Amino acid sequence: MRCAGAAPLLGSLPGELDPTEGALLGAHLATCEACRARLSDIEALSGLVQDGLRTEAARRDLSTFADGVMARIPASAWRGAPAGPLERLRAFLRRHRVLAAASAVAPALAALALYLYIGRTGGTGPSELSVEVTSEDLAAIVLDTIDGPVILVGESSEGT
Amino acid sequence: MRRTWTAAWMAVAVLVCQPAWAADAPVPVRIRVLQGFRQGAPGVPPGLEDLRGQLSATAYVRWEQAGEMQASMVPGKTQPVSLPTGGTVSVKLVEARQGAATFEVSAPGSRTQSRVTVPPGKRIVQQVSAEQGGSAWFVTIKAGG
Repeated sequence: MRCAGAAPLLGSLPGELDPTEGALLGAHLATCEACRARLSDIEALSGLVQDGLRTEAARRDLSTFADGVMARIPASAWRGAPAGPLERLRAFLRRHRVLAAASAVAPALAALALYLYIGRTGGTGPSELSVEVTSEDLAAIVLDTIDGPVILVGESSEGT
Repeated sequence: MRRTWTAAWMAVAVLVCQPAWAADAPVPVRIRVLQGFRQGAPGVPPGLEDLRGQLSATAYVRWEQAGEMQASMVPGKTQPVSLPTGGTVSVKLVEARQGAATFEVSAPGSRTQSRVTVPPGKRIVQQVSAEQGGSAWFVTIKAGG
């Protein structure tokens, strides 16, 4: 093997070369000082790059990286199937438990309030206009106006 | 969402709370004494403008107010109303419920008794004396002041 053939193989990682290429490269490096020097430079450069990457990685706080990524992934995606309406409702109820409890209690309170309301008003609701007039010897006339009743008595001697 | 829930809870609270015209609660009642005339310049005084719709339905064309009182009445209470002629009209609050008040008006001058149930905002106009000389006396009753 010559230097031109050995140069592309100098930066190979362990296991990348087949046994024949590895043996030929080893034989060439044993006899070629220039290629040994080039291999030494490559290894030094690789070590510098690795150290630099490790230093940069150590400077950053990656402890929350995984949680951040998981939080941005919708539940339906990592569960492998799109969530249906029922599943979304369950998830909503899990996230808003107080609201769900209030939703369950509110109709009961409304029913109780309606029961009390009807009980207090005797169940009659708003009453309509009602007029009863008795007169001993004068005729009574009731006029129904939009503002209320007007009760008049006439001069007739017939009672009403 | 939060506003909706606040409104819902307030509605429940209003329903639970005592209505304004609940039974046995004092009811403000405004009573006025009027004299109507068949003759004269037709018109309703400024103070009786709220009664124009009812007064104009009668054959009396000129009106004067002779008295007014504000009473806080509870069911069963009778409020005497004096007339300038010397007579007395009895106004009794029979019942006050949500949405209506029932009054009994007894007018010895016309030997007439009435029992009237009116909803809020309505008023009773009742003739309480027989007509004499082209004029007659009336009382108006309105619950709620």
